[in-house]
Amino acid sequence: MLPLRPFKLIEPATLTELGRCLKDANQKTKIMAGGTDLLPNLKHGLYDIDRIISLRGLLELQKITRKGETLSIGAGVKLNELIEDPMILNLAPALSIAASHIASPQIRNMATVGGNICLDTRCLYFNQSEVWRSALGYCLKKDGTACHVVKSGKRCVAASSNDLATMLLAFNARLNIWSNEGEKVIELDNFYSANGLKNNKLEPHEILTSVELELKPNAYAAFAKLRHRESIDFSLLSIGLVFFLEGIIVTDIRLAVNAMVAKPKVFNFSELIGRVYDQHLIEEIADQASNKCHPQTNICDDPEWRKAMIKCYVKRAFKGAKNIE
Amino acid sequence: MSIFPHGTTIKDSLSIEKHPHSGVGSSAKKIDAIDKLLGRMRYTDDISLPHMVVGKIVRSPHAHARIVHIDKDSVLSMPGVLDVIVGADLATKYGVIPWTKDEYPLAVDKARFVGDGVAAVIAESELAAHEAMLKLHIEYEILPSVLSTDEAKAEYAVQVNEHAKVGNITKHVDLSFGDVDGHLANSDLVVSENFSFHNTTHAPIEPHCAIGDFGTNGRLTLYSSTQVPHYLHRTLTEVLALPAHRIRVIQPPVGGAFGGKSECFDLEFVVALASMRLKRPVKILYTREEVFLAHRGRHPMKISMTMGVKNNGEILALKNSIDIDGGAYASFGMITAFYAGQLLTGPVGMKSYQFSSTRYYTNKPACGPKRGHGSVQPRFAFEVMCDMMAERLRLDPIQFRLINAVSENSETINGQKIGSLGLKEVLNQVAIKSDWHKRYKNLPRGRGLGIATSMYISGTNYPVYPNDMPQSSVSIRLDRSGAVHIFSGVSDIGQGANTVLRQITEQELGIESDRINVLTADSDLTPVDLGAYSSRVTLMMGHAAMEAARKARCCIADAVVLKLNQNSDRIVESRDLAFAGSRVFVRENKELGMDFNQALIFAESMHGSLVFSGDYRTVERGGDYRGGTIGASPAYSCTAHVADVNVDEDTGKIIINKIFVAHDCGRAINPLLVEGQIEGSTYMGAAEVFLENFLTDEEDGARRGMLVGPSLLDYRIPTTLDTPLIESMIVEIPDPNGPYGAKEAGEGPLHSAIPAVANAIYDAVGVRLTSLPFSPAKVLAALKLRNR
Repeated sequence: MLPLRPFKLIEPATLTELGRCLKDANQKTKIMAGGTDLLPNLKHGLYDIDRIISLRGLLELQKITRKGETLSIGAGVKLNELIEDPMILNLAPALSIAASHIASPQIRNMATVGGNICLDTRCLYFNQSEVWRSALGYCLKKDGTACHVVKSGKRCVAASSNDLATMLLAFNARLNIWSNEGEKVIELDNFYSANGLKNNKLEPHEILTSVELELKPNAYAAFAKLRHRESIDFSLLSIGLVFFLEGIIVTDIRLAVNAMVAKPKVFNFSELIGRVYDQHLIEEIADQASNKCHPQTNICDDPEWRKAMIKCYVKRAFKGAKNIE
Repeated sequence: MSIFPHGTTIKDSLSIEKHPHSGVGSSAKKIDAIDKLLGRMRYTDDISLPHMVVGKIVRSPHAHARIVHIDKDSVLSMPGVLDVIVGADLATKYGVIPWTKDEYPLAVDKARFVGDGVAAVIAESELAAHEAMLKLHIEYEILPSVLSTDEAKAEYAVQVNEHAKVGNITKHVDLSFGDVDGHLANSDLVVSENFSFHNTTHAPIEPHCAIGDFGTNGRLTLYSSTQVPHYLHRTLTEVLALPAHRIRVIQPPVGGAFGGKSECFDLEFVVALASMRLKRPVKILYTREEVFLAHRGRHPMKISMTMGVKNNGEILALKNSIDIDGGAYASFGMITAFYAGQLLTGPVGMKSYQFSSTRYYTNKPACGPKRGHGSVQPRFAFEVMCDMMAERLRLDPIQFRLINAVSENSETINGQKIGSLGLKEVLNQVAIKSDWHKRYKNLPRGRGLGIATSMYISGTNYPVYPNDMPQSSVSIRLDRSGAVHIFSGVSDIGQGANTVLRQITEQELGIESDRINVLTADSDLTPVDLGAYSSRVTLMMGHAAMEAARKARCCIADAVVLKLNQNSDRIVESRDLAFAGSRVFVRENKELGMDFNQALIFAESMHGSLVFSGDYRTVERGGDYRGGTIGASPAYSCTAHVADVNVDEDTGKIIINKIFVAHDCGRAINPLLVEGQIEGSTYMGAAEVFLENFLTDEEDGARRGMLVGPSLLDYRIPTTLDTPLIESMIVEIPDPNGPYGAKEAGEGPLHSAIPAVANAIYDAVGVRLTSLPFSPAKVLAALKLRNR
């Protein structure tokens, strides 16, 4: 079996306590939500740490609330709680569907909304044991200098693989970040970067407390995920789609495509706003999305096929889109 | 043929009285089912001995490399590190097949694949051993490597394994039966096609685990999650140079094996030697990655097949040429080279047959016997070929197979003696259940039905090492307590061997299960059985169990007769007695008799302690030509599959809606277990079609020869959601060589699942796929080609 190296586990019960713990947080500290990704990664020796701060005791992060047209989901909400929440099922069912495509039922009992939004990027050459990675000579993301995905590449292209983020990006969500310095809000659109080493803007002394989205009329939403198995698999591709119709006219579109490189791709198609919603429009959007996305060999399947599947899955998302009202 | 007591023979068992709740034919739950469900089962890793320490094996990062220097000192001073073992400490070659001893416990001179064990570190804790494993400095000289049969053929200068007499060839077999060329010339239609089958592995949930415990009495106890404790015992003796009588091998309950644990592995020798050196128990548990590296999985094969038929559908000739990618060691590969050809001559036969198969060494984890050893790959090719021929001849694929059916009590073209063979019956069953005649070729585009058949051995007549001793023995001990203890060296690896032992004993002695205690796979306590492989257990062990129980019965009957005749004016003979309901009584007068406990007391009084044993040995060995013994079995099972498949033409994804499978197992000693084997086999076969793929990186440089994603995330076994509906049908055509007529059920029902799906894809979308696996990308590409 792969052993786990020892570390200090800190379990604050309030934000005040957490604040104290975060004061001396550094590169050797990891924040743990559900731990379903962090602990296997630790067993693979992917992080050199001596301390874990668990957010499990922070009950204030585990609420789903609605204020007016703003829906707020606590970062500590478990994925299975999100999936079954009546308000989510009623107001944003696509989020529930996206969450239900993540991992397996057992893992979703532990995994959280915040953990998924902040999920580390994944790569065929990174998420392996220390023995395997040392035989490879390591990689850009950990302990090495070479990228095995992009030959002579200098920037890590490990894939963001968080399905909930795909859908939240389509919903144009924003994040509430907390630290000892106070609270701040960041648009999810601005949260991710193209750097596979660390593809989000959360600092070691910060935590994500909740994600918020605005409920708007005439919205249609859908989620689609390409995978080989109907459970457990990480995405080969995930699609989040939200669009708005007035009559037969499209008034807004947000399409997120994820699980390709470090940064999820978001399309607005501003030039298509005002067009009639028909099959031609869908084909055009699907073509554009497929043409502008470039799946890599960081995930174990044929990139050409995955590129072709973007077109197919965007069309399927449109076909399956449900009016939220 | 064994002669049982009182002149009974095995044939008497063919028509038995069945009891719904006990004995042969009852769907009793497995002996260990509840313990497994409750998590109470103690597997090897659950065993923890006082003062036990832990080992880790250091493995080669290179596909092929000479070991220049191992710097033991680089780790011996680390905290908790106790010992470092290297190849030279265990420098005796071994191999499961006595003619191909070509591997060391740890590489001695060179490593032959990425993951080949080179050294082992032993430490106080798993973490300490892990850290030392990462730190041990080994200097290598990298050698050129070969990763495919094509490279193995071309690169004669690179010798993977010096056991090869020529180039990189493990074994080459050429056999011909009948006038193949003449028959091809006389054929109305001749078709040739190339097929390829990929590498797949067993993926048992329990990783390999072993504990060595060398006692102060100079005896070694070795616990291992093996499916061949007897071969492990023999090989430990050879490698450790420790007499067999000083070694005790115990196989605790095994959490899955599927052929992947049917030979010895580095960890077993390392824990044994380490325990002898340190005088402490030593454990090694593989990581999941190491389970993938241990492999011994399905051999990749490239198959060129030519079939000649008459217009009436008669197969006149079959030519089969096979390149087998073996990996770094022979494993069972010598047998594989034979099985790839020898097991293809039924249940659909041919007038003449020729095959040429060659197994090559390559710098990859060794392949070996995965469920359906050696014959699953050519079966795929042959059954797709049958479908192509039926199509060309405008015959229904069922009719095509029936035209060429091998008949019961006959001999195949290569001399295999067939007893019972329910081809017609299994075909009939799947045709009815799938509504074949109405739905085949009539489903909407994108959906299709496909059919395939197969045949498999129930053990092999020839044991793995030549000897004249029994292949399986069972002892039974009964006493005044009323308890019946069964002892057998057999390996229950989840297939239910222990339960079958109990049911046979229930049947023969007419007793309830609660008084029967089954103890297996402990070389100090149990008589030898050769192991759980080749689908041999039910037939061979069952035979031995039946004989042991009948001897006991005979002895008990003698005592009961003596007693009954004391009190009766009528003379009772033992043949008048019946054993049922835990009583022994006169068949014609049920009142006249006694309960089983009382009978045991009289028997023990009369004979002394009640210990009996039964054996199974094969007399006939097989066809009268070199290689004729390989593939020769006491009995052959028969299977048919119909797959109902959808092809998503936008994505290339295959959705297997349902698989109908009928299997002739001769006699279902436990129908529930047989059904479990049919479902499990079908599941495993279906998984190889569209999901599972054991990939090696062929990119030059550091990646060369590395496994791609050796984890259960990247090696995708189907989840319950991906598993097709499976409708299993048991067909019972008793075979005169099987106990109660029983034949195998554990491997046969895998074979034809794969070609049935391939043939269904053709029915669905008109694309003939010949190269496995059928990944969506590959299917989509084939669909595009069709549209052109």
